[in-house]
Amino acid sequence: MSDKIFVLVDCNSFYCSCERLFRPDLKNRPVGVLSNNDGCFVSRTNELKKLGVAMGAPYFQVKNICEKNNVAVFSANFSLYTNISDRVMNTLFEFTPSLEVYSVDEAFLDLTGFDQKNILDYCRHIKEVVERNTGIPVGVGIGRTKVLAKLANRIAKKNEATKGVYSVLSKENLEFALSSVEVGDIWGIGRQNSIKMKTLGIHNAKQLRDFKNDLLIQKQFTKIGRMIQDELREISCFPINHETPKKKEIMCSRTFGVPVFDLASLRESVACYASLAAEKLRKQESVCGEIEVYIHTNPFKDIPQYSKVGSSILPSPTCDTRKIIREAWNILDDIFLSGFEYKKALVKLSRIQEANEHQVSLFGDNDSTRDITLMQTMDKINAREGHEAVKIAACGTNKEAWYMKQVFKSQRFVSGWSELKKI
Amino acid sequence: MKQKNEHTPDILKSIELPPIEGPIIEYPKLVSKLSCGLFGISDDFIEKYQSLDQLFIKNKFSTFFFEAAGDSMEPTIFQGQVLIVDRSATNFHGRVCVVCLDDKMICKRVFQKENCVILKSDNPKYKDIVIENNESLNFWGVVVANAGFIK
Repeated sequence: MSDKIFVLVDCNSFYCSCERLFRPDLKNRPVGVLSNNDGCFVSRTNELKKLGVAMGAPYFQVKNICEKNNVAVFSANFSLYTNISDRVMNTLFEFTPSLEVYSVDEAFLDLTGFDQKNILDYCRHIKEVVERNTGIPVGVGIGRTKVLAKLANRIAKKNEATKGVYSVLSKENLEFALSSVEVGDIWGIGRQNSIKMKTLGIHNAKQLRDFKNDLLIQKQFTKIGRMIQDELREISCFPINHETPKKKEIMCSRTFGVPVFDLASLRESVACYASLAAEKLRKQESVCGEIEVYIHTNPFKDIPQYSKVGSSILPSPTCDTRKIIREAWNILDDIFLSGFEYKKALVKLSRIQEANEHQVSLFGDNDSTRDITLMQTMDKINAREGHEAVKIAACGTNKEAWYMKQVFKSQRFVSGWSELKKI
Repeated sequence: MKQKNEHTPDILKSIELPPIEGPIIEYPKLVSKLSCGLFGISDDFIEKYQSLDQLFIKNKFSTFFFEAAGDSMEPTIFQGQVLIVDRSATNFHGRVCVVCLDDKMICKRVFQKENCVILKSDNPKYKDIVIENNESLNFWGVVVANAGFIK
């Protein structure tokens, strides 16, 4: 059995909680946040869940319910959410240096070595400090492994009597948690796998832990399935990852706010997505060797349909925005057909390698020191003066022609000075 | 040989300096090797510029900014000033705070009494707000400083 102590801290309805932070009038109102372009719900408060609005529900389908119940609906304000997320994570970092930011709203903490008797009080203290300093309510789960911490967190969230903190370090709590959590709700077991497990007679976490035929689990659900089973048995298989692994593919796509017909607007949008992707590429100190561009019409509309993907392998890997845009445009020009109403464009960078390890091509157009310095300078200016303070002219200045629709967006409370909350 | 720093250029001799007011403070002489040119310039003396963040922000991750509206907190806070609000502060009594009262966020001086909380405006034009029902009141943070341009 593991003597480690893993703690999962998870923000409750994170995006909605961020919106509530500056709006006390929303305290008891149902709140929901929509995806890019106001498509579907990506975050819901408990009040909204109770109204039967599902995760991912398209807004237009539940618009009536929302209007009838006075739901506060928001367009995604990602600059606000990332700022608040950063505050939460840094506040948690004060409690332990061994922390893994697992996603924008959850983090694993390694509190191994803490006295088991005091751990619950300590975690209540962590919860209190995070909520006081950042204003974001959190749930805390404590267990011997990551899978168990996640499981405990689930109970902390669902069961009000726990007051948001639950530990499965004791045998009693562990048995209760394992038998009350369905197999499909275990971290890492997807929907597909849960159906397969049920045919084996495994319905809850306890049954998976006690399933005797380890080999069958390995065969059916690969090594990962076996590791999850071991984690349920308090054998730690997944350690804390201090560094976020580098992405092997970087994608950037948006649905257009208004339908786009012309090549010029498509070119602008593709240049913008390529710039964003290239910036991310440089941030993780990588270069890419392949570019893919994809455009399509709206399949939900009764109009002539067209979609096409094109890709190209670069003569030598690059992280230079100019080269990436040039190549993306070449691909776009190849795949574009006029006469269609385009809904979305996507740029994907792949064959990603470390910037300082990639093979230099003998004949290709390698990034020179000059190119790299130029890109770094651009990134630095944008980091200091704001996103797109300087950009490649190909991105254009007429974003209204295609930029995403965000009708319900809240103020920029924490970035810039012009939109501070007035009190 | 004449010391370099005792030499006064002619142009400075012709400038009349104002009489010195107050006590003269003597500074210790800097000891440093001269490489060339200016006296005392060496890497050892480089320090960071003063930063207002360093002065006003104790905890970056719990500090938020607001804009003051209205005149209820004059002469402490004037309309249009930026309020620096720290959520991590725990002592509210007697301090200017951001509080949520029912559906509104307001900025008032908070006094905690035995059975009630009094929200005072620094401007005598405004009446005290006495709150006996704690449920309608939530503390948001303490206003630790305000900043603004002089008009």
